[in-house]
This record gives sequence, C-alpha cells and structure tokens, in this order.
Amino acid sequence: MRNVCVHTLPKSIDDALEIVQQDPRTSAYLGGGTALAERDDPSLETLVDLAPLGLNRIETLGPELRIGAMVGLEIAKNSTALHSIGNGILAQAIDSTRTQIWRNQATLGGRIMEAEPGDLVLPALLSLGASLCILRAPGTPEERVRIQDMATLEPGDLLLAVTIPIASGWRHAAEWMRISALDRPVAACFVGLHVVDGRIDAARVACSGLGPRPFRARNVESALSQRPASLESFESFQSALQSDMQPPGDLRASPAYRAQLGRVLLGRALRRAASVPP
Amino acid sequence: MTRETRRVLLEVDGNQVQAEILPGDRLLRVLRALGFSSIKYGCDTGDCGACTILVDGIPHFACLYPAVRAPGRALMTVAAMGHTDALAPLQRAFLERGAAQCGYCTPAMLLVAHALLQREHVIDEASVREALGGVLCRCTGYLKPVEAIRACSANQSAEAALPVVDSAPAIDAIPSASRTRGG
Repeated sequence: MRNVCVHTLPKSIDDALEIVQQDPRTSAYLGGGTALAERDDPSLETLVDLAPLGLNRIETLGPELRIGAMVGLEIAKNSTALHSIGNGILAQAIDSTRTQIWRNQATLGGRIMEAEPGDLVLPALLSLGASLCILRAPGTPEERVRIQDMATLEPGDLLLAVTIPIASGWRHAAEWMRISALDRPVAACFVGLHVVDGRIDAARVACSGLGPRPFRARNVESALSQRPASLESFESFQSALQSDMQPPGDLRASPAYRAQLGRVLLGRALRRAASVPP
Repeated sequence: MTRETRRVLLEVDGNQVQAEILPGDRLLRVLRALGFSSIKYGCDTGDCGACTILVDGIPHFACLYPAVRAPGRALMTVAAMGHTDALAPLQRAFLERGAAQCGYCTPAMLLVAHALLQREHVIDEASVREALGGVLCRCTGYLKPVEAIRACSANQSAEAALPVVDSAPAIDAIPSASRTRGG
C-alpha cells in the first residue's frame, strides 16, 4: 500500500464498482486490509473502502445462510449460525486460520478472494456447496457464481456475500494436518455426504494443499455416488483422489508426502462423515 | 498521481492527538512517528504480533491496520495501563512471575491480556493461549505469561496468592493444538 494516493469512501456499491473498474490494475477494494497490507503491491494507487456499504451481516434468508463479504473472520467464527450449519466445519476452519488477532481484522470476503493454496475456509465452503454473490457492473443485478467456478471472476468484480444452502440430510467432516499450531496446513480434506435411505445420494469432497488452489475432488465424488453410507472400505476413494490432485512440493512437504497425506486425510474424513448421526 | 496527506485527530490512550496520514499508511508507522514507541516494529506482515494495539478494545496488528480507519476509534497502547510508580495488576503479575525478558513482545502480551480480561472475567488456560497465539515470544516462552494472566482473572484470585512453583519447561506451546486438527 506504499504508493496508494487515494482512499475513497464510496456512497454506494455502484460507486465502488465504478471507481475500481476504471482501472482494476491500480485500484482495489479495501475490506479488512490484511491481504493488501501483507502484499504491499507497489502498483496499487486507489483504495475503495467497503466499510460503509453494509456488507457485514449474517442472515438466514429462506433456505440459505448469507454471510456478507465484510463479516470479520472472528465474528463469523463465533456466530451460532455458522456453528449450526454443516456440523460446524466452516467455524472450525476459520478457527484454525492464522491467529485470533489477525482474524479480528480479516474478512471472509478477503479470505475467499486470496484463495491461498493451503487455505481451510475455501475447501470448507466448497464442501458446503456455497455460492458467491457477485456484482460485475454498476446497475446490473447480483449474480450467483458457484464457488468452484470462482476462476471465472474478472478483475474489478465485487464480492458482496457468500451463500450456503441450509439442507438436511448432509453429514460433514474435515481433517487437516499442519506442522505446528500456527502454520498453514500441509493438506486438508473436507467431506460432505448426502445420505438417502442408507446410500450416498450426493457427495462434495474438497481439498487444499493438494493442488495449486483448493479444489473439488470430482473423481472421489463420483466413486462415492450410490455407495452404502456405512463406507466400510476406503481404498477405492483414496485411489480416485490420485487422479484429482496435483500435489505441490515446498518447504513443508514433498509432492509424494502430500499425496500420501491426502489419501490418509480423505480416509479419516470419510470415516468421520459416515459415522455422523443422520 | 500525488498522494493526499490528510490531517486527522486520533484518540490514543484517551488523548486527542493530531496526525498526518497518507492514504496507504498503516497505523504502526503513524503511531511510531508520533512517539508511541511501545508499539514495536516486528515482521510488518501480521505474523509476530509485536505491534499489537487495542482498537475499540479489540486487539489488532498495527502493521496491517489501515490508518485511514483509525479516526473516531479509541486506540490503546500499553502506556495507558499503568506506569512505573503505579503498575496495573497485570503488569505487576508479569513482573512478579518473570513473564518478561527482553520485553519486545511484552506490551503486546499485556494488551492482549487486558482485552481478554475485559471481555471474560473467568478465563481458562486454553483461552489465554488462544489469545496469546498471535504474539510470538522467543525469550520466556508462554508458560509464565499464561500464569501471570490467569493469576489476574477473577477465578484465579485464590491461586494467585500462592507462590509460583516452577513446572514443566516452557516450550513454544501456543496454542495447545495437536498436530492434526479436524472438524
């Protein structure tokens, strides 16, 4: 933020969009500010502050939970609405993201848009079937983008909120591993199983740390379809994960270690999800 | 494009202070330039916690906090807690238990503890470790600060009267999460 010349408080959401979209390369939305400050991008000249725009509400609207992009992570973590959805996996993922002091400032929207490789919030949202509420141009209606399609977002698009379906019959569990308490996870697997008459009707499996960015493991999901929910054996799903992931190597783990860890975490998460009472 | 300097009033430790801020300034630079040197410069990326400050009573990293958002908010540094001749109970507890060594992280730890005690009068060890998780210490570790903070909480008043007994070595055990966590 060292070269920022202008800080604006827009009067409306359309105002904010207009200003940033004049030049998205040199302008940015200011949410919590943690990512912008950490990145310290020297090309950034204009900050458009989202604080006055009322994007900080958590609401239950019909069959879904809507969480504003400006909701602070620590506030979200403590929200009873988040604890009551998806066996509380999103609240747990947030609780394990960085530190409490950092979460006091960081926002959910910022965390999503950062899409860090080892993030926990994004795979939690993927496994919950979340969607992003996006504005692409002033005066246009809000668009829904499934979170797995967020690569289609353009620079200057404004994230307003995240919606999570409130659906019954889903069992959720997550597993992750990190080297120390405050480190980012080496790998994580989030599982959601929709069970009808004792069989898996639909599955959402999301991973992070096992590819360049968090992803849905489609081959694992296909392999799970119509299997008995008791899931006594996990080998076939673990080998399906092999074709879903492209584990990177870094100072925390080699690709081979990550691949093995991914299989182990997937097995544990499936076992736990299968044992969640319906 | 030229940078607009803005003259603002900040409320620091209960006093109104005039400051000149640039649009991209973070609170750490602004406050240190004003002479509030108890806010330490550390990593500048929200990892070490040495720059922690209370904003409306809530701990924040001053190195990440946009200065443009500070006007109208109550900022608190450790200087507002007490001074050499009249230490706050938390400061005294830190002193009595040897919870400070080089002192670089101590202002941050005290502020985090102050915020925690304002919020919850009865605190367990896990809450203290969770709160201190954002402040890195490489001297004393965390055992003695945790003891000092717990001694100041309402439910620990009887325990605080007891002499401090050395227990297990203070390894870097913040917060006490296991290697594998999951939902």
